[in-house]
Amino acid sequence: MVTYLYGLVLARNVDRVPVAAGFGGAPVRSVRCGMLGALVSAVEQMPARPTLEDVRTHDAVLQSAVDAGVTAVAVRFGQTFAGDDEMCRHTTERHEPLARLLEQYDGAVEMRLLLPAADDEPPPQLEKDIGPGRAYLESLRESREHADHLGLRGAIGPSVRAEKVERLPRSRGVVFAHLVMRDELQDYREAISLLPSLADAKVVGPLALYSFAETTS
Amino acid sequence: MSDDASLEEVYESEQLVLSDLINRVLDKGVVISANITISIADIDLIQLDLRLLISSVTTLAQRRKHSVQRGHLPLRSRPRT
Repeated sequence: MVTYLYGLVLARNVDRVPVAAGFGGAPVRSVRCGMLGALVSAVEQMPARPTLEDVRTHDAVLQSAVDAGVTAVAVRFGQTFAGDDEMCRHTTERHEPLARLLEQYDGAVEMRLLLPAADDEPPPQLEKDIGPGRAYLESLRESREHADHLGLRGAIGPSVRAEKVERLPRSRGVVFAHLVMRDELQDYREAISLLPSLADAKVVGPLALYSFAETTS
Repeated sequence: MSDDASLEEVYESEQLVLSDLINRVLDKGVVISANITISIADIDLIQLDLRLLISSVTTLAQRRKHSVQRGHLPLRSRPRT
């Protein structure tokens, strides 16, 4: 058996996280690692190829913490360790920046505004004289300009603490990840519902911090 | 609006949400052990995409069947979750 790590919360909040079902129905436990609480369960081994159900289970465990009012940082899918001690050793090596991030964003959730690609929108093409890195940055710049065009910033600006723009693979659409305080979620949703330009948009959340899980050190 | 147009909207909406779910769970979040992430980078996303497609089509077919049994058209989908 190995220890699978789903996400992290502040150690002082671990008692508020309900017991969820992890992979194979195994109960998710909270393990204190320094200033952090790690949400883990025991698994036989990581599947060679994850299924959609595996992806949903990982997300659902984090969602149980969010639904209990706890701010959680998502750990990327597939992080397994030989046991709790090894997991804690790895986690504790990074606990200071992660704890700072959780303290800074305590009370916040991630909201994701999904905008489908327009039917007449041509697929992004890489220009011959620029590399993929620059092309990616260019595509993000275009997405931000797209947001300005939609009137997004003016409408939801006050309730959004941070924003990240991502493109979904295969040109399916654009995602605006927003960091929103829980007590401002209603304002956020209302602002979006009032924008006619977002009639085709889909709002997903509140979620654990996925896009805002990066630390600066 | 036609029945097919409504179904297409539901399908596209579900595809978008599932695509985002897969993308954020597999590609976002803290990396605690970089060694493990390298193996995860080998995930066959085409397989995942196929599963996603099959799942969505199955859900749509079930909804359509239920709607017909109840004698009404599927609702136009503009859900907020």
